[in-house]
Amino acid sequence: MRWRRAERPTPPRLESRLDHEGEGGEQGRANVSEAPREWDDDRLAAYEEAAVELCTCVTSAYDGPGGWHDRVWAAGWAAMSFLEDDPARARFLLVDVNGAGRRAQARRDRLLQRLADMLDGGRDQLEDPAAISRCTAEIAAGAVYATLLGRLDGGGLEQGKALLGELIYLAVMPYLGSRAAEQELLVQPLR
Amino acid sequence: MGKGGGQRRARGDSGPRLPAGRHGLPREFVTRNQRERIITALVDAVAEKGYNDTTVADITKAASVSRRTFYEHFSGKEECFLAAYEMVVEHIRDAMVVAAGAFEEWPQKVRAALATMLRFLSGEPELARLCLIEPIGAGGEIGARHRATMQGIVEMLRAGRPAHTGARPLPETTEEAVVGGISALIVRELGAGRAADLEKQLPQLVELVLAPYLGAEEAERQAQEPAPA
Repeated sequence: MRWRRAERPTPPRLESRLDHEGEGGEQGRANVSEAPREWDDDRLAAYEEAAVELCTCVTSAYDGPGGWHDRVWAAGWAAMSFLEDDPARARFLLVDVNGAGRRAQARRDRLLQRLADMLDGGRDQLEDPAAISRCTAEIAAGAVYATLLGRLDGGGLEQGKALLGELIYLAVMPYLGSRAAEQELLVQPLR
Repeated sequence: MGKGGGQRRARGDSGPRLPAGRHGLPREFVTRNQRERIITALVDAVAEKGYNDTTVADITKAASVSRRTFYEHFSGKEECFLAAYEMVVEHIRDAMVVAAGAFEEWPQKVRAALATMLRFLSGEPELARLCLIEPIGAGGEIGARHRATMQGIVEMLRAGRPAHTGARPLPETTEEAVVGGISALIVRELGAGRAADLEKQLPQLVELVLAPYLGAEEAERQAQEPAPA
């Protein structure tokens, strides 16, 4: 639970304060409050730890038995369970990271790339895998992330698993076609 | 003006400067000129250093205004950024609405609006970064405003629901996910330094947006149509 200790707000870095040396008085204070909010090494390490935990859990589900479609469901289920399990950790991983500087965002982007890797496996379902580029999987990963972000911003992911069918519908449509993808909307995940 | 109609500036040139001293210009003109210079300077500074690393000192230096003048116009860097952000977003939104208005059918409206957006962003990579990449990292009020902007696009896309041809009702999250996908693609291209090639992504984006409403096959067909002029 290292990430929990890292939740406390980090004061502006000393370097940032020194950058504004000589800008005293009221305006100097205004600049300190606008100092970069980049995460320090401790918070980044905490993020890394939580991200690895999420990746391990999702990858292990995806690497299980069955075809691509079943493994996408297994990975989605594992991800939602992980996120629902600890809402504060979910916010830390998906929301807080966005205001945390370039290094943190690069780590978040690696998470999204991992998701895109899994979705990109859908190309093997096609007669001509080259008919779709990896870009499609990256777009789908971005779409999934935006939806989760919207939910977390709007309160939380308490009903995350109920969202799975909708997310998988959109994610698999480029690979399986509209009609097959619509079947995902009929799935009522057990809790 | 750039390809998409945005104002182009040479780096380091924050626009015409007022003559020093008592120039006798009306106060309203001076104030507007200063504000525009400050905003332009912010755009340049953010393009060079990113929002988080840009300081008020960077902006005032580039705009050749005093800190006092800066704070007469803005309460801080965030408010200044938001002023620039709103200007760019409003410009893009207006251009998209005009482009869409030239067509009757929703799929063509979508296509024209997307083409217009991509044309602008590819011609103005600095402004593209300012309105699509920086807000994600900035957080706070800027992040909130950006999410509100994206929500506005979500509402625009909902107009396509009557065109839905599927057997099942569209999920509530469809538009949110589609906008997330559009954003992911553009951010990816900008991040890879391929802003100039953004217009090549039009077929991909058209297909992405139309697929949930018209079905993957029809969306693919629409995506192959020639881009609107």
